[in-house]
Amino acid sequence: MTLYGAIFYLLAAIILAATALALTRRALMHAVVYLVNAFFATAMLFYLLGAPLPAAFEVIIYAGAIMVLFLFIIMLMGVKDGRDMDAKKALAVWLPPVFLGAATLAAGWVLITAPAGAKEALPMARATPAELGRFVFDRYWLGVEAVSFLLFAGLAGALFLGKSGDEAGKTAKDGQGGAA
Amino acid sequence: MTAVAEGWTPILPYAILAGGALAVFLAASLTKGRPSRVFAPISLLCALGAGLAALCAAPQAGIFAGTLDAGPFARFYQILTCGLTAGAILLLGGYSRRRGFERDELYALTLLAALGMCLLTAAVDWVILFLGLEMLSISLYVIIAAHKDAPQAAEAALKYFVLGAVASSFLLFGIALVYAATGETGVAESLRDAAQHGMEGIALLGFSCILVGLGFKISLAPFHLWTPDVYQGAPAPVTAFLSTGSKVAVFAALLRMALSESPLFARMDPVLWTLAALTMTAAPLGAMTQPSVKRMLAYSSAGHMGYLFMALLAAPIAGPGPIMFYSAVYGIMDMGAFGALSTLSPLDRDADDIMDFRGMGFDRPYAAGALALCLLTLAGLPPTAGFTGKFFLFESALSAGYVWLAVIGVISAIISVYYYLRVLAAMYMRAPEWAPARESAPGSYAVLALACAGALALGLLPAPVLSVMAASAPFTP
Amino acid sequence: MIVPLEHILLLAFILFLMGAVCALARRNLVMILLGLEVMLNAAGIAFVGASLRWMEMDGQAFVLFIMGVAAAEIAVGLALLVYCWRRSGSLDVNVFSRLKG
Repeated sequence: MTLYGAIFYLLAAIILAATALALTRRALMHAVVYLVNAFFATAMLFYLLGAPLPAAFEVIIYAGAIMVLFLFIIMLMGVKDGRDMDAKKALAVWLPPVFLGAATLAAGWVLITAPAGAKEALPMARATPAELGRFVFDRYWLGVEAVSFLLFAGLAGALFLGKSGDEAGKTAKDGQGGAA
Repeated sequence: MTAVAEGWTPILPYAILAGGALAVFLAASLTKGRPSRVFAPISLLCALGAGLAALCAAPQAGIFAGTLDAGPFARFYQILTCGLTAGAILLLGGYSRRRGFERDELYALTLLAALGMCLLTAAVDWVILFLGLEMLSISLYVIIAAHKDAPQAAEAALKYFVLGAVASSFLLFGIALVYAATGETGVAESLRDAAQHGMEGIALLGFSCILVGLGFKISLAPFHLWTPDVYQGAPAPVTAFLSTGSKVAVFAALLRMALSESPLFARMDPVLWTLAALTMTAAPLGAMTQPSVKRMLAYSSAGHMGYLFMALLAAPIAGPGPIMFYSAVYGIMDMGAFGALSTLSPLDRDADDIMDFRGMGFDRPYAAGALALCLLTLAGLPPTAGFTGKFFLFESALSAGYVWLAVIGVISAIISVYYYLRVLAAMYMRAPEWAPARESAPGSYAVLALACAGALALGLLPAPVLSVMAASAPFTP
Repeated sequence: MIVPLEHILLLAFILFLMGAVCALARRNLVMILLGLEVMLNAAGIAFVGASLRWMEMDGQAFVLFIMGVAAAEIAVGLALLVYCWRRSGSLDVNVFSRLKG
């Protein structure tokens, strides 16, 4: 197995573990944080599989915009976790995300600073961001237009649903509009 | 026509619908958010204009780098969906104004949903197909919740959102697997070459996921349980749009896949057979005991999708003609039925319980008459279009050798007559204790008149329409 | 290929299943939306893997479109969630099941 193969399986394990932990949490905040970790690991996986532009977008859109939107909503609604943190539990709560985060960072570090000899498989498969961008606008510019209208529909719909006479409605609307 | 003119005419329907949505928002910003009467005419003109543009466009093999089909097949379904959108806008206009939820977003999102339908019917590339379906779905999630005073609209929207988004994800994952197995993003190409790269298992799994996703959207049997809940909770004109436009458009995409001469369809034949049979049995059983007319119509629409799906199995042999004809018939009659239901509804809620319809035949003779005719068409009694269309469907199933499926379908159609007649009987029963308020809604009556005319014309004179379809038969799917 | 395509697809498939189970089995609306995100992300992984297998950029382009769709879908979904939450004061889907026939 090459070095890159090893990194792939490490990242796959991190993604699976983080996602499984996220989807079984009771506390919504914890779920979101685990999922952010999973998305960071996915971004590195994309980079490893020769897709740097989707990797960047994964961080910016998924881990950035969408997860922050979730955090906004959770805070807006003031959902209570309803549990006390004693010292023993605190360690159990902190340890898995710290471990997963550290593993993700380590994988990323190896990926970026890998010895030149191991890199030969990577550049061949990689679509540079400029190439991919040109390809998208060349072949799929209808898709780009369609997505822009889709986002427009989503924005208008979210604003419409968020609108209402009372004050709570206004806050929700602003939160939606800003992040969408 | 010059080469340039030929180049841009097929783009017009999309441009008109997209521009129409923006124009509605612009009009709203100019009137500063006050309720305005200009939204409905603008969006109606745009829907009709888009249909007209699709009718007049010069047929072409493919536009937008071959991601969009501009042939007769796409044009037929675009004209149909634009017509259905225009009908829904007419119904929505009167209904929402009298109930005080007429807003710019409602019309703009209806037009964007129509844009999604047009993309979906014309997509020959998975990217565009997925984006069209999502544009349609996202707009519909919001339109269903548009009436904020309706008690159950929010719940219906939430249900449709959760299940619809799961279905979209299934479709997307299926596309990903089919792409992984073939390396092609063309709908027909990837399905046709599915077995050529030694990854047929992955392609089959992907195809099953695609079927789950699309089957949910047209409510095939194991995935149809959302239909009655959502149809009951949504405002009646929105239900009309939901049950006709979105289903017809998704079915067009399915039909395009079925005509791709894919080995996957042959491999999946028993599964598809079961889906069709199950839909045709589960739908009448569900509808039979419903006291709610909206839920009954929801099950009935699932049943009609079962007939269409039966003909879809036969389509590679018997051709797409019967399905195209019945799509038009189904769209017209369901639009008429839900349109009549929305016209007959009192202001505070939708007419729903079968007891609400007692005596309607005497109190509101025109709207109730239209509902009666549409119900008879749904039941498939001659001389309506429902009979003619079903005849073609069963004929195509028989000619392709699906005898048992046709038998199940005929039995299902005969059972279905019972629950349509139940509503009919209630309408022409005296109920002196309740007199509904009469309002003038010229838009709604225009839709009902057109639907009735269409239901009779397609039933009595199918030949001209069929000849047009036969002329468009040799198309590139 | 640094790893067989099957392994990438297997990873995507497990993720997809986890997301689907979460979206259909959890009762909390926020968790359902997170499950949807995971499903879309799984499809993205499958696309990137397939893109590498065939040395074509279509799969990567598809991932960009998925991200746009995910953003729009989640914006509407969260708006709908807040809208229902304000009416009923709950995030439990069981509260929203009055539509039964």
